[in-house]
Amino acid sequence: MGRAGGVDERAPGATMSAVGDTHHDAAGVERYVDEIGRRLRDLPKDERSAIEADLVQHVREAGPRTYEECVQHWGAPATYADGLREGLGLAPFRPDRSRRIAALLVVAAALAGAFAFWWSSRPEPLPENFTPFQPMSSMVAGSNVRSAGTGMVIDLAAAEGDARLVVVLRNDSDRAVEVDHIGIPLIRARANGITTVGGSADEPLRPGEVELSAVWTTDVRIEAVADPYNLRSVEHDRTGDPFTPFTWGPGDSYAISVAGPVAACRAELAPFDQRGGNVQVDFTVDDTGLAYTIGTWSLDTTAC
Amino acid sequence: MVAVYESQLRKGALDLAVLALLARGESYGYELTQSLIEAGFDGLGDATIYGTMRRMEQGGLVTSRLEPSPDGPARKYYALTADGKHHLQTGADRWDELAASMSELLGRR
Repeated sequence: MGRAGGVDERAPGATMSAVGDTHHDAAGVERYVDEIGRRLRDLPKDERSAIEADLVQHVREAGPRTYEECVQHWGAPATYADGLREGLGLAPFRPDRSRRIAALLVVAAALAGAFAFWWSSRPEPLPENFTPFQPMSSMVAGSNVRSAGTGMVIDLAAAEGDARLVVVLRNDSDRAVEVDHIGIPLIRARANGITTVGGSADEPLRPGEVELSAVWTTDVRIEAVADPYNLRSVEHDRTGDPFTPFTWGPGDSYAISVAGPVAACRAELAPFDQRGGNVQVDFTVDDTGLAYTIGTWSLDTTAC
Repeated sequence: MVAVYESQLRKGALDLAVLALLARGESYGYELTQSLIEAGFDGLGDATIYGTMRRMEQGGLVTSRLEPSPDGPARKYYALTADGKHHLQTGADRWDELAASMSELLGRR
């Protein structure tokens, strides 16, 4: 028995040990025969099984005892299978086209699925009138806060030390928002003879608005962003630290806490005789650069 | 091109050659291969010869039996059947006719 164009090296009467000293590797021989069998898969199963069984006998008779010896004697399984098909009078083996087509369809479906997933999850530009956040009036509270409510004046107690205001916001839109910044505007300017801290420098104060003192505003900070219902984390508790961006999913609510020294506020505000107050919290979301202002969240400094 | 032609010529004659060899007496794979090589069929591999034997056995031209060997694995011996002998005779006659026609065409007569 020889490889294509060669001859069997086993002489008449030769024993298995004449092939070499390597140990008998039945699994290796079976693997060699199996690989030949794969190129016979267009034959009826019974016939293919019979050929494979006969081949094992044939290999044993010829001498090779391992996969490598089979390859050495007869060449690659594919080569042997080609010769075998020729002897059997079969056409050359052609991989099943339908399997290839099925495989291509699977790949195409996977690509289409990946594209659909990407398409549905890709960040979309936010419309200009997109207002994802609405304060939940029942969830405004804080230390040194007498009353709270959406769009209402929040009274601060005239107390020394920090005032802490917590507002719970819920994303009422139907899309997730990547929040990459939450901050208090710290622009300080003079307008209408009044020092304004917060908002645009040229923006005149509106009725009920009041500028906060520099002392207050420089210390005002987003103290915490946490899930008020699960209380799972306080993600940002460092003063003035731009927090880690996060995804604010549809329907998700988070608590935002702002703290600052009230006493300083009172000292600074008194000369201006201003009443009322407004703290604007800007959300810069996604990568659109759009900022959203929760203008209904107010601090009343009357008590100051 | 010549090599392909010779290969095809041998393949076409392989069945008849195997039948002729077995007409001398039963034989086993290795021995058949050696005999075929000596007869000029060295361009054919073991796989082709093995496939040929299997096809001829399925076609009822040859039969086989396993012969236990005292110094190795059992060996498969092939022998002609009655159909095989008839096929050999028919094939030999056609071969003679073809050879004569070809000789005449080639001007060898």
